[in-house]
Amino acid sequence: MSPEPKAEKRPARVLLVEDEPLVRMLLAEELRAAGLTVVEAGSASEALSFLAVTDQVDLVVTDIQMPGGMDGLEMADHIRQNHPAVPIVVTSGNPPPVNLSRVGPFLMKPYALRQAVEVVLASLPHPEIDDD
Amino acid sequence: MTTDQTETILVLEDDILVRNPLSEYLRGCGYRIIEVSNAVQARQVFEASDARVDVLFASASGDAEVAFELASWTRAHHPDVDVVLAGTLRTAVEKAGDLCEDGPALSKPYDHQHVLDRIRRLTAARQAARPAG
Repeated sequence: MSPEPKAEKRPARVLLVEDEPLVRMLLAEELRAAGLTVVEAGSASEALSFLAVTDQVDLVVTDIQMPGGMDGLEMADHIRQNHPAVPIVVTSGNPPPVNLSRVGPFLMKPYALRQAVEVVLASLPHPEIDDD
Repeated sequence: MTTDQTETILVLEDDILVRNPLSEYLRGCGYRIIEVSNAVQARQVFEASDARVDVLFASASGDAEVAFELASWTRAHHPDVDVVLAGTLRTAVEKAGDLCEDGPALSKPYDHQHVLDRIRRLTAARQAARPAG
């Protein structure tokens, strides 16, 4: 009896939503250095466009204040409804909103990059995902 | 921001589904990539004192005029930065003519290898033009 074929593993994929390009790039580079795949979005609408075409997003990191019609918390509500298994880490330069408990961990800006990576890794079920 | 010799490419493309795979490809080729989705964000990067940009890849597919204006502004204010224009060819060529710019060198859908070849040719020419020593 031949053994069951093992599922291919892939690095966990993080969707990073942040409107400040250099802040986003620095955190994305740190997350990639930790072995994760990172997709960078500059707005909620971009992030939702990406989520509309793939289910291979394992965690979302989002800023709250962003330009455009939807802020990070509204986007998080949308993701929770449509992708309830995807953890969401929220960041902001302002104190956390009172209704944050419905979302997930909060990172106050300015955050240390290492601290942000630790929060992301702790929020992921696994750093590698079965690609099936 | 960068202290090593890694070339940094500022990728301006408004479609995340196009920008993400192109950026991933260029990262895999050893470049540092800063992704932006509009010209306002691109200017923020140029104006940040701790950011270094070697190449601007600007897609003119969204608002061609904005991309060409950014290209002109970049050439005027950051002459050391190589500019690669890309985008949807027909509308971009019309806008380019209006702004006395060259038309886009690359059109969608981007062949990643062609983008890389174009960037390598530009950066090689820039490096060759630098005074020795």
